[in-house]
Amino acid sequence: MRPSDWLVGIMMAVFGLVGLVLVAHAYDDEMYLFGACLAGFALIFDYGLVKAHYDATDRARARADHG
Amino acid sequence: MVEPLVSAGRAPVEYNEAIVRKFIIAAMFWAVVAFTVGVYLASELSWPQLNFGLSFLNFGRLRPVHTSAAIFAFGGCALLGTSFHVVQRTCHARLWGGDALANFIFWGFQFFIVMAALSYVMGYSQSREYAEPEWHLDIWLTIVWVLYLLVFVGTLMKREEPHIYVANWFYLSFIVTVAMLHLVNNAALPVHWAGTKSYSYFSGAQDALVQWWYGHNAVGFFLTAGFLGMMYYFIPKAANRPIYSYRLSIVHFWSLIFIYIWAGPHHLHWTALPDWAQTLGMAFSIMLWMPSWGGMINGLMTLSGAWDKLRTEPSLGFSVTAVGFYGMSTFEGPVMSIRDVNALSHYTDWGIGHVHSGSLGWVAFISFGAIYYLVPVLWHQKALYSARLAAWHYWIATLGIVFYISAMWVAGIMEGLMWRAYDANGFLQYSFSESVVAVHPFFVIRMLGGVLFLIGALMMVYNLVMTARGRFADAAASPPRLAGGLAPAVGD
Amino acid sequence: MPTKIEKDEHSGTDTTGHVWDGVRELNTPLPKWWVWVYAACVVWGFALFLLYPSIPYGSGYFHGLLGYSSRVEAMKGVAEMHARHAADMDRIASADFATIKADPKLVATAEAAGRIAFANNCQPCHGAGGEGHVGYPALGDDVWLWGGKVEDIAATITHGIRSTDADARNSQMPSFGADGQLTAAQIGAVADYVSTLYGIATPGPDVQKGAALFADNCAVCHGDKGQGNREVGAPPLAAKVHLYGNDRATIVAQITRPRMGVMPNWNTRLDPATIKSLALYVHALGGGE
Repeated sequence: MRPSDWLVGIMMAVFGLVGLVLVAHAYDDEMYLFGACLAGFALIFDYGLVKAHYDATDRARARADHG
Repeated sequence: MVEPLVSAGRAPVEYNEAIVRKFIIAAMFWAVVAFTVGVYLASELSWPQLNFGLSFLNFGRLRPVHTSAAIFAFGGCALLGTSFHVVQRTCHARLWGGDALANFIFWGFQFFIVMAALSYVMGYSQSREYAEPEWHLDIWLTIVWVLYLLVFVGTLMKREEPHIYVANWFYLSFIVTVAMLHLVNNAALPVHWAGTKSYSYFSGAQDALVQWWYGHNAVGFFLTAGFLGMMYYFIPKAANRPIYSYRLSIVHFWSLIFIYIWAGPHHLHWTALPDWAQTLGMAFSIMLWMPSWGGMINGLMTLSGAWDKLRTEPSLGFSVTAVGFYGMSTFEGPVMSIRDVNALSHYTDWGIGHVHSGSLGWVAFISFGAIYYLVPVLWHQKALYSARLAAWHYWIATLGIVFYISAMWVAGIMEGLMWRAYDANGFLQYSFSESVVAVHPFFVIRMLGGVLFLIGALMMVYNLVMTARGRFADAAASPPRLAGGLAPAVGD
Repeated sequence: MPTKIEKDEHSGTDTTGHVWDGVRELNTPLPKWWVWVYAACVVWGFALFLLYPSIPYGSGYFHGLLGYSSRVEAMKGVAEMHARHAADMDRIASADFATIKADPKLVATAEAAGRIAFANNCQPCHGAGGEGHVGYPALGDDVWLWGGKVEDIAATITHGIRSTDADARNSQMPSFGADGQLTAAQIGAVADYVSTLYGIATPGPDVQKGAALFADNCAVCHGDKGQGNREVGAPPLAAKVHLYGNDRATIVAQITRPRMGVMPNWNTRLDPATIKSLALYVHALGGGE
């Protein structure tokens, strides 16, 4: 994984936490929705990063196997 | 995907095409959303009972969904996508910052659009035209936008070409200026750190001026400079002709960005805005005419010697017509900014017609042209699924625009004349509601124009999906297409 | 990256020698007409700076050679139109209605002023022809809540109904049901009786009981035969036209928890002459007394 992927992944994790804090303290419906969606978005995005990493590793291994 | 060698003696670059594909798909998705909501709103204006008494179908809540979907979602995705394509190709460099960052810009931008639309229909808005999202969404967009700027500039920095291509100047001015406009216009104090409501930093006439400084330059730098960047790449590529004049591109670029930023006050003629600011807005708008037309000249003259390509290259018809509409609305704009013309046109549907000749005729058509060109390139197909279908789209959409803007011209001038008509006794001749009744038929025609435009967009979606899937409807009819990244460069 | 200047075959112009992804540029000079029109527009722009209020400085701004002001300009037009009817409107403001009606010129002016004032101010609630909507009285019929003489109409427009004006027309109907003064069964009986007053409902079994309850509770305002009382704006219930509808459910709802409309006092927004013109216009819609 490249360092920039790590940076983006950590940034998204922080946004996810911000989302949860906003949900916990939400003053109105819209902020509640925003916080919840932000947390969900961060979770899915970071999951996608992990998946992309392992997919790439698998592809590289397959390529090596078939030489 | 490894590109075939374009320039001799240089290593091939593995461009990030996946991110461009994502943006193009999103642009088409949001185009259909924006046009559908637009047709619905036009119907509501003709038959108000269509809001069914439901808060979220109310015109006031749906209108920003339409404008944001059209400008920021459709236009924005088209701009971000094409800018990533153009900056990579013309710098001969892969996108700076890595795939995760590019993906964050894509998904972060989509997240902004969806959350903004939801907030509108829930009834949250800071009531600033074209900047309705509340402060937390503004902050989110700022993060996405700054990273977009970083990636774009980063790619420019690591370019392998000695010079920066003109399209990139326009894209860069669009990114930088939109950031500045966004930050100033949205300066606001939230009521609660976890609450949606906020109050603007500005008040009164200053607030109005800031809003229209923003609003006018959103037109200038989002809808004009950005899409000129698009034009400067896709017209010469599709026509396979050199840009008409390098000097003109320099002079009109700097003139445009210097003059545009001062013209905003023309939106506030005959208001509490001081006369001196109104005069400045009007004078700069008049001086803006030729700088705007520089882009039109460069677009049209680039085709000299290649007009026959209009028959074989489906994307060019859209691009060229777009430049025509661009020329028309950038002439109409300065005319409307003259104080005495504005006395007639202000607050009427003439304004709506003007905006749509720009947005449908210029912004949408130049994007359609770019996307028709790009999809076969990005999905590595030799041609579009059907050039005939694209031609049908072209004619149906053009007819839709003509319906739309001529109906709005008639309605707008009629409103302007009715509102200023006095009888022999010096009393108003018409009430406001009489003018509403009078324009009703033209509102219906406008709605039909919108329906035609939407039908055209749906045909385009079908055409593009089939292209991406590698189908060819009229392979025999259209000559094999060698353009874009697959074409060997002439010269060099 | 070596650059190579070439001659474009079609135009005969040199390229700049740069190539980006196959895109080249011609070194065409600026079009002459473009330069000249641009220059003319700049001259025009600077002429505007000179002639009109333009350049700001510290506490003020340059006022321009023409001494132009958009406010003065707009007020000129307003004054011109005002002059066309000022004399007539002054007389309308000072004269009584009998005098106005006797002068055809004043009647014509009042008609024109009243028509447009009605269309721009009253029409949203009362309808384009004064036909009314549920909760907003029809003005073209002869059923009046607070009086149908032209003076009554003028007073209603001037002070409004249940408005914030000190002389507003004011009255309140008790919430017989919500405050427990009558039971639901009693209210039903009253509603059955009220329906018989305009003879469209089949008389229910409780009509006699309802008549007694009506006499005890309602007649004091609405009159013993439901003829209404304009002193307190009590609607004539014997008329078929009811403000909120004359079906049984509406009457029951109205007795239980009455809705009472508000009309703004127009004396803060319209001048006396316009209000009098409006009163004459409304009076002439068909129901004037």
